[in-house]
Amino acid sequence: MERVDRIWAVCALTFTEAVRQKFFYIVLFIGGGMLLGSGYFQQFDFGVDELKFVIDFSFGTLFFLGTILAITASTQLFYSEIENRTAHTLLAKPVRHFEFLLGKCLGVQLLLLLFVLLLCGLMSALLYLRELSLPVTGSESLVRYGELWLYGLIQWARFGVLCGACLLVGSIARSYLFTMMVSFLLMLVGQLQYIARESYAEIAFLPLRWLVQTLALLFPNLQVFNVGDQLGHAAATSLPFGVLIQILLYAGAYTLAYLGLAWWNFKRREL
Amino acid sequence: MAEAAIRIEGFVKDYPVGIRGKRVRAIDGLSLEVGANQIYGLLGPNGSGKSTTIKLLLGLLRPSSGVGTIFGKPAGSLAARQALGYLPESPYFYRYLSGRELLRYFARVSGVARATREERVVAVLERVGLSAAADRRLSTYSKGMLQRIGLAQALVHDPQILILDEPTAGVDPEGTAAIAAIIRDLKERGKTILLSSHLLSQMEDLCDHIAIINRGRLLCEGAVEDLLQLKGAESYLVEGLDASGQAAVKAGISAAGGSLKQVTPARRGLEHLFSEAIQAEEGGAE
Amino acid sequence: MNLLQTERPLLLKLQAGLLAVLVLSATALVLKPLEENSSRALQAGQVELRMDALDQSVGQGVVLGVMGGLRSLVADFAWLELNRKWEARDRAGLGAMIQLVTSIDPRPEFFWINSARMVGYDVPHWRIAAAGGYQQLSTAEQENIIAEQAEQALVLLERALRVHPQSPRLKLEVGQIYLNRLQDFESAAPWFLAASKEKNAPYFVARIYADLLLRLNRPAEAYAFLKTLYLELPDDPMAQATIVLERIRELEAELRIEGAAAFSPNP
Repeated sequence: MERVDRIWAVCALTFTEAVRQKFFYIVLFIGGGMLLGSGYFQQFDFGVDELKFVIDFSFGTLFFLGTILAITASTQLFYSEIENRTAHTLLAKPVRHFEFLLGKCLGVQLLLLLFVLLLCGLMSALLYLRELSLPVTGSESLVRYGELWLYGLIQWARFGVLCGACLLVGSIARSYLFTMMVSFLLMLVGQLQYIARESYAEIAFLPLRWLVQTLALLFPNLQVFNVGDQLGHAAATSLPFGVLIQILLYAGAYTLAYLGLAWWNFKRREL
Repeated sequence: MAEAAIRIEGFVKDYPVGIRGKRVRAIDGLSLEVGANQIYGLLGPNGSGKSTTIKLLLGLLRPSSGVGTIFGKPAGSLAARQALGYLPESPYFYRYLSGRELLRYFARVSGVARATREERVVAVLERVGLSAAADRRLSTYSKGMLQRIGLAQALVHDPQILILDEPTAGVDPEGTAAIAAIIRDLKERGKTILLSSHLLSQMEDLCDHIAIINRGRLLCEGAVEDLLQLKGAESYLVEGLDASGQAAVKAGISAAGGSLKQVTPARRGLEHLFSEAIQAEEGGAE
Repeated sequence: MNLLQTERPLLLKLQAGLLAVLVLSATALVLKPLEENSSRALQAGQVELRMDALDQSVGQGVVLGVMGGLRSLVADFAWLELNRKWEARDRAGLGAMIQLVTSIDPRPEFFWINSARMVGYDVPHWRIAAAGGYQQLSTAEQENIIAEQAEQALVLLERALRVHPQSPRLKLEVGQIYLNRLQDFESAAPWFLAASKEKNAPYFVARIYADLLLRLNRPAEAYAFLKTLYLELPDDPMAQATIVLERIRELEAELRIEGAAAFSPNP
């Protein structure tokens, strides 16, 4: 019970730190501004198809800004504790390294959850208002509102993987900049490496194929979180519920693997 | 025999330089013992290994060899850390928190029960004299106030041992006196205090025991009174001498017409002892 | 253990690296079924991306955005750019952007239909205006241009139908081009029929098909079609069953079908 309380204390502090910093509000402000800016599509007189544009744009905003927030907040909230030596004071208390790491991760996830909920709420409201003003034929809504939140949930799970990766990099890094850059690189590789997976079968030179195959194993396939095309718009092909669960499990397992490795490194790290 | 509050046996700490395993020795076979309810000063020039020794005791660094214990429990273990309060050198805390919030946080992670937490926070704030500034953000605190809130967080779970790394560094005389008073008060309450400092005059007044270290090695250690006493020498407190009489003191105090009031063992200052010890070490090392 | 860790940094780094490789590889292998299942399900709802269409004409930012998972969004922005070309009456630019948009994201029917309308309906005006205007060009020349553009629009819709073979909107659009641009009723009719058979087809499509049969002088066929249609219409005011029944009655008058032979709406 004390252990849970310590983790929760670190989590709450991390969240408090994040929401008292300007950066979160800047990202939130930009996100809100971008969503409100989707009203620009009205100029093109797309008719009901405008909703597809608004959904795509809203999902893109959540994906893009959420990724930036996940990596920046994870790095800043974890690595700054090492750099500013606040971790020294904390770890001199009866706090275990994994409690500290888990608390940090949960704090960042809480922040990202708030971000996702606010953006999903705003996008739902905007789409609803826009749909009301469009000449919609038929009684069925053109937007599957529940799926907007589902998209938010899947992205939140993806942010968890990114947070875990950042903590792993931060646990071995010697500078803030290094942690940030490598984490972004990891994200990019994870996002694009499915292309390598698809093409390694074509490599004739066996050792090279094995190398590519092994390297591909080291990064999560972040493409599995790109569910935006199948959610939200009534014309989109729905994604089966089972697949959504599998994607969440995939995210959870990778987050835990990264956290485990981060803990192993951090425990051995001399502060 | 009473169990030592802190015991260090043969601490060695090597830092690797480069990837080939070349080593730099920061602590070289350091052994010392801090008895319960002592104020123990760890003295040494910059880079002598004071902070490294403290970090080894806290488990923030691992010794290359040697053992440290806190009331018999391995240094760095959860049980050992439970008995410790630590004030780092130039403490940096979360600037966006108020003093009260910071103490609540550290009380919580230190396992102070929810029922007594608030009471404890108020008491510690009172003790370090920050009640009035408790709800201000730490970003508005002066250096001295940060040092005091640092001390408060070390005290918040009422540990038996306090490890204070340069507790008065950069603090004005008034703040220094306040911190010294708190430390003396803690001793009266039965706490053991290990502190490192380079402000020797303060340590002389404050500590019961001291250890001087340089280049990671223990140079001398013991009770302040014993260490500062000059063997075979006496000092005289003379009264009523005029200027000419002073010149004749060596010839005989009685013949000069003075009256001998008191004879006490002569004492050198801690500053003097420190310089002498460091010079001897560095002369020997050359 | 301590000695190993503090005095052999290279060994420690190797140890950490090896552990990371092992844990991440094991994670990837354990999660492989989950990943493959999810990827399959996602790909089932997506059309394969034609990378060759992206290679040349676009910047790296677009390629990265598309491959990184912002495919829809990049296509949307390309569509806005396409609209800019359309406003500027830039024929070459419009063609290139249609190619790009439909390659990045061929899923929205909206892209195909509106592109086909631009090519089939708007570009002929631009070409005629560029060639001197309606007054200057002969009817034959104008029809020639219109036919050429209609042909291009049909090619575009043919590509669209490979992606959406069951789309009533696309089939209807093909029919509309035959009907409105080429006045080719014979070719238009089957497309209206095909569109009317698809799920979610607008009710008016079937009525237009019957009209086309009449224009093709096949009233008996139109009559038979409308009778079947009437019986299949759902109980929905939008289905306009009364209009269909009126049309049936008109055809009965024209075909002189009376008495018991006449259509009975409630069999």
